[in-house]
Amino acid sequence: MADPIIVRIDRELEVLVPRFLDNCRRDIRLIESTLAKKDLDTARKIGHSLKGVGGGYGFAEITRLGAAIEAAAKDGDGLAAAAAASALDAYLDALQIEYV
Amino acid sequence: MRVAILEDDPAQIDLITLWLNNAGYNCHVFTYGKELTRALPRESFDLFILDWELPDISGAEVLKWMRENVREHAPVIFTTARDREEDIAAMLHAGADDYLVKPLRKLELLARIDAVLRRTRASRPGDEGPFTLAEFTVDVESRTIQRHGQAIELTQKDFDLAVFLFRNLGRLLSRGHILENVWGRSPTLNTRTVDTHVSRLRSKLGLTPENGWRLVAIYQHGYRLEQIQKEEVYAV
Repeated sequence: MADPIIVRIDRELEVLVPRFLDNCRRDIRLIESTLAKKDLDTARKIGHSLKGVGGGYGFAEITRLGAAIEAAAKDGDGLAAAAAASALDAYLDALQIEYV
Repeated sequence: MRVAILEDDPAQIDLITLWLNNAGYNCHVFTYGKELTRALPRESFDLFILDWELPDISGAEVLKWMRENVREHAPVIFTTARDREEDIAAMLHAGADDYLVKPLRKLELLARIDAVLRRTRASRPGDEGPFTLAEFTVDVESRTIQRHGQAIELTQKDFDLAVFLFRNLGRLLSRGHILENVWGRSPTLNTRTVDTHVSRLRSKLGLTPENGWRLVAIYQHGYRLEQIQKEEVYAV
């Protein structure tokens, strides 16, 4: 089991964060299935969306990995996109949130 | 303050509306560009926050449509994950008042909204203390309006409506916009309430061409308070 990654999030966002993280999980599954179908454009769009929103919720790593998915998919590199999606999955597994 | 948000990503919508609602703004969300352009002929907003990538037409096209079809300069903040210098410059040249690269940050977003509103509504009377407009003296703190030095008896809602119209002199305000600012958002109220109060206020304050004022009803949209020159009176 990986070491927990503790992220401090503004308490104001407590009502939104669980749903946001659930949706991130759903997006990862969607990226995996689109990449399996060689649909890189859909993977790029999801990566773009994750890049644009993660940091707003206080998760800079989601923005970073979303950008990596977007860039890899744009370059036609499905393997790199899948690796970034897998890293995002691992990050979510290790995530522990403290509301402050 | 009424804000139109054009955004199709539910996570972004949740975030922006939470921040803005908590800061006291009234948010209206549109997820399709055409949904917003269809609403604009009958609605008014104090500020627009536009995303670039949408399911139908782009935010850039919506901005272009607004600048060509909406008479008053509506303040627009563009928000997108596109961070290329060329994209930022293109949207500012196309008429956006500001551009924010996603992910958004709460304090920065609120500060930029404040700055854009300050720049575009620089001369809103009454934000700081009493103000005078022609024969009217309005004191927001004591909630009184005097005309030629004589206090006018107004209900609370009449007063709020008068202040809202004076502060937005010359702006076309939709009935929904007026309703929301004066009465708040309530499903039990309808826009006829606005018509009734506007008519009463016109008479109580003497907002007529003979007195140098016009409180114009715009079909299927709302009202605009105008101050007119004496010579225009005879042309009406």
